[in-house]
Amino acid sequence: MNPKKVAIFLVAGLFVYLSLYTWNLRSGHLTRLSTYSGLDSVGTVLRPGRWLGVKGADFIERYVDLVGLKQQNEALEAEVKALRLENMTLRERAEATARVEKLLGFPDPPEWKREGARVIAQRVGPTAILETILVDRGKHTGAVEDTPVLSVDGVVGRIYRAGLTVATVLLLTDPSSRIAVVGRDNRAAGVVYGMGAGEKLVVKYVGFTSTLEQGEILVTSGMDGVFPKGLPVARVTSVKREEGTLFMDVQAAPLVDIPHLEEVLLLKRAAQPEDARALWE
Amino acid sequence: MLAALWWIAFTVCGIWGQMLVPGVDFFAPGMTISLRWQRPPVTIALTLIWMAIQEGAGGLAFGYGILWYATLFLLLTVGRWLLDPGSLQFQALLGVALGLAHFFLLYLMAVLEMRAFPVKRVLLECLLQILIYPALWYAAENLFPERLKRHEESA
Repeated sequence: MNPKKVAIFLVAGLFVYLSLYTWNLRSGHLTRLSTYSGLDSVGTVLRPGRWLGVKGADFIERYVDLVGLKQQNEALEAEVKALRLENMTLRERAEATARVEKLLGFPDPPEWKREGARVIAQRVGPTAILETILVDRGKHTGAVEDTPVLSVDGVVGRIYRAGLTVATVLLLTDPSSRIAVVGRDNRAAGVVYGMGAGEKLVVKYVGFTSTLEQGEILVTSGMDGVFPKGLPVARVTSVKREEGTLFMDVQAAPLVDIPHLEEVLLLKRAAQPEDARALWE
Repeated sequence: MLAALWWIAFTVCGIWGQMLVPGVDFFAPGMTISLRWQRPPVTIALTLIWMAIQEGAGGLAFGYGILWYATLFLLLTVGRWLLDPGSLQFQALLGVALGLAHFFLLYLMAVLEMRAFPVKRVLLECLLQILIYPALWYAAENLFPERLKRHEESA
């Protein structure tokens, strides 16, 4: 082939590629198209295998778990009693708080609906540079971008990309994840940054004069507009104060065991943020 | 019909492979085989499907797949002039080139999207790509039905 033709072909190809890339960055049409086609087909292929795997594991576990079932039952009964007692106290406090909020004229918080989802894969493919998991819920079931995702232990992340029946969840450990938090006991505000898989989370913008203790649980503050208030996120592992800085150097560990996640909960807002605005008008 | 079934089975296995070994492209050997033995429209259709899968399941904006498969196409086209495309040595060299290409392309896309680039993890994925590509090619090439091979003299 003529080298001149090859060079023209390469330059033209590069030009077309860059035009396509920038157009897609602005419009997102190609990304959406690949999400609806590629992501959903990956889900369709992985879901039956996952289902079989889970059923097989359940079947085996059911027999293994029979060993020591009595002792486990007694321990669980004791735990249920303790939880009932705690629940009773907390219900009283919650009702008292609701009464005080009503007296002070606080608007009702937006309601959230929970929906279970199964984890069908961790990262898939060569472009999976982000810390993500795939779940078997998509736009058909109302799971849209930025839907909060949690487990029984705490916050897992939020939906990053939603296909029709499958969604990609951006984990709280990803470096592009940011969650606004407060300390559960001392109410010191900060923002939790992910630092990558297996790394500690970093809590930024915690004021130098704030009170935050090692071991304190960080809960969502609701200030980021994504997560509702009060969901547990991480446990503080170290707090350092250095002279000459405005903020403390805080590290935390996620409460969720991400590599072993099998089921998660999606939190869907019953009222849209646009509706919620009316409360303030 | 046999070709469609074979490629569907290959794609399904590829998706499962990519789920088990994240960061590695299991479809690249398929493109090599398709380019060698199938008609160009088949290769184009397969590449578009695989590109949609890679882009949809991945975390970056659309763009990596085009560069990735274009690089593979260029490497195969240039390499075919110099070496025998049916030899394992050539495919092993191609695996090394793909491993390096994966690093540079991913770095480029991460910079363009201003994403964090996990160097250690990507380097490990490159190494896996280098090792897995020739092995997969060898297995798929031997499993590819003789009936579907479009030999140049008959084409």
